[in-house]
Amino acid sequence: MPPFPETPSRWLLLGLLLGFATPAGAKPGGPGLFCAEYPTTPACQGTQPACTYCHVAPPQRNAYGAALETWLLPGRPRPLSDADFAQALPAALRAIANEDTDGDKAPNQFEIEQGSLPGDARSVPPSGICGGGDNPQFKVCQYDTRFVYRRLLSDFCGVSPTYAQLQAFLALGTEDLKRAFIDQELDRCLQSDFWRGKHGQLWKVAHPKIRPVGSIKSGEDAGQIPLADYYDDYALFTWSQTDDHDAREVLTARYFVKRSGANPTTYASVNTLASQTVDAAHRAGNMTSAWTLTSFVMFTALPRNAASQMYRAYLGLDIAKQEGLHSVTNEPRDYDAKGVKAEQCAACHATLDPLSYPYRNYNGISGALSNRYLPNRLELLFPNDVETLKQTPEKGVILGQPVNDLLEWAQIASNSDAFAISTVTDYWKLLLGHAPTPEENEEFVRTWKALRTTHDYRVQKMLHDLIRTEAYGAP
Amino acid sequence: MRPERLLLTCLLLTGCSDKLPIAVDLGPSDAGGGVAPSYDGGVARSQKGNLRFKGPERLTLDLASALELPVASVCNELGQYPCLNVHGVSLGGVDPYAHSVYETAPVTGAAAPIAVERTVLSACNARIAQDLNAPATAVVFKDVALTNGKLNDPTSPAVATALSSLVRRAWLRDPTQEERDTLVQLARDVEATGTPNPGVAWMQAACLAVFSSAEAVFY
Repeated sequence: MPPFPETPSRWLLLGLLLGFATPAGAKPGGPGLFCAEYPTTPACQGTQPACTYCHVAPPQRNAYGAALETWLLPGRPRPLSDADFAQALPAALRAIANEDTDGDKAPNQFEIEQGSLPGDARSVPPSGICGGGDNPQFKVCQYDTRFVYRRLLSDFCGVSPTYAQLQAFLALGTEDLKRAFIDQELDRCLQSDFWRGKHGQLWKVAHPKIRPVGSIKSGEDAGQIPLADYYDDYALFTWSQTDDHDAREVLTARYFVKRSGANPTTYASVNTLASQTVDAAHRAGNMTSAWTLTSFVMFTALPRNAASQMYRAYLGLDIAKQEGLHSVTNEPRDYDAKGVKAEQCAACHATLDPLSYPYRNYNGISGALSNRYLPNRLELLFPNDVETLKQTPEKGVILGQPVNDLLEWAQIASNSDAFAISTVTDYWKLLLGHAPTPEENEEFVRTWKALRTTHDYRVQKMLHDLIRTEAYGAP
Repeated sequence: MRPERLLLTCLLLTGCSDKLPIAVDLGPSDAGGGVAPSYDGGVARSQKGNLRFKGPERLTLDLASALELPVASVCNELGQYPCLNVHGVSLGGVDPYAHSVYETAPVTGAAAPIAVERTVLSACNARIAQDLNAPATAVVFKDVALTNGKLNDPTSPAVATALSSLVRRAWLRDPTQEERDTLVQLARDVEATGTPNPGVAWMQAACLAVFSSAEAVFY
């Protein structure tokens, strides 16, 4: 008999972490209604505005939210019903379209159209003004191939060009030749260990997704309490981002990836790995790796933490920041009796709990049954828990779409706009040092849309697009 | 930093190399070293202001490449702990496995400039030591003659060439006349302090000044 999951204190901690208060003033349907009114604006391109568009933290409103509130059925008792809110919001949005609620001298509608925040005076629309004059080293405000060549070698190869290399580059003459050479150099650097090797740049992109903990690592570089090997997760992530591989397979792969060698480091797909224990029929890439189950499911019956981490890591939607809320009718059901039906919890748990149900049979830490798919896991390992726990379905909902299991969850997630946006945002942040700004939004949207379509989710091809943007190449 | 402190720090930090570095081709250069036209004033300002700090890995790799040093000898605290690791987070790096630092800090830490200077100074000291110990294979301070620890002639072509070499390696361009004059003047300023080995102290100061400049640590 495997050891029972323990301890009430862990449940309590999880409940505190995930059942945080989201007061009744928040309207999770608000972002969708906003996008129905402003469908072509940057905040609605494949995503929706976070609650912080109108709120400091619900129910406290920022300047924009406060102005909106005054136009929402004035005189009607608060809180408004969801139906009243939905009916009144479009007119309220139009009523304050020409106001400048945050006092930054840009009217709300202009800010919304330009991608800046109408409730934040620090966020202003792009000026469109570029400094003039000549500069011997940089073409300011224009795509500058010399600047791109230097930056590209640093970003992808880890080392600046030498003086002689730079002179040779400048001697290429035409811009077309320089751009072609830049593409060649990018391909060369994408093979480098600095980019794809152990602890390289792609591993850096993966750190917040995998969230390694050295003390419980098994295998190579094992820690004191070896439980699972997260290097497998880095290997699959790196594989999915390199060569002619499909980035979505980080969530959908039924195979594993083995890393070997150095300079060059190579990655190869394999059907089995001694360090991985989920059977092939239930694998969903890094969502079901031994590390994910050990670290994010751990001892939990209903693994909300695993689901929310995958949602955050691979779709860029952080429920703790009230992002990606798609409330499901009649949820949360509170199968594990954590009190999440309370109004202040339900705003997030109406999304989070159905997101978590497909993890119900994926086991975390429990002796010989660790890190496996176990049919009837809750019945087997949590017999003394609250009776309703066993009623937890494997069916769930992600992004408003019903799924039968975690494999379908992974398919819907990886085919979503949010996945493409999150993938490109990762590289935007790595290579430009910040998430896309309002000025960069047009190029950003073009880049993630091309990743989904033209490039069929090949990251390397997307990177060629990215380095051709003015966001990357204009100093 | 005072020159004698530079020298002391040099002795503490200098690493040893057992691996031949890759030669850096600096291209053709006239005898006096290349000089770029001055361009002070009237420079177009970037509206983006999005220079990137090199961070621990790029800083180390660039120093190794530019000064033709093995990566392992660029900087080691107490002679054995790579600065890349010791000062990694201070330099804008991550420390995911041991300390759960999964992302680069959004702001530069107070220790970053100190860590940059220590790393650069260590690399400079390693290069200078090799150039002085094996003049026939000197890389940067080639043919720079010292007598009793002093530069024979700060205005010599060898000094000018060494300074152009430093600047080309760090900034990927030639120095302006003013920049080169400033670095030559530095030799006189160091000597005026009375430090016992002003020639070496000048090499350290010049190398540190160039490789720890904004132009060298941002990209």
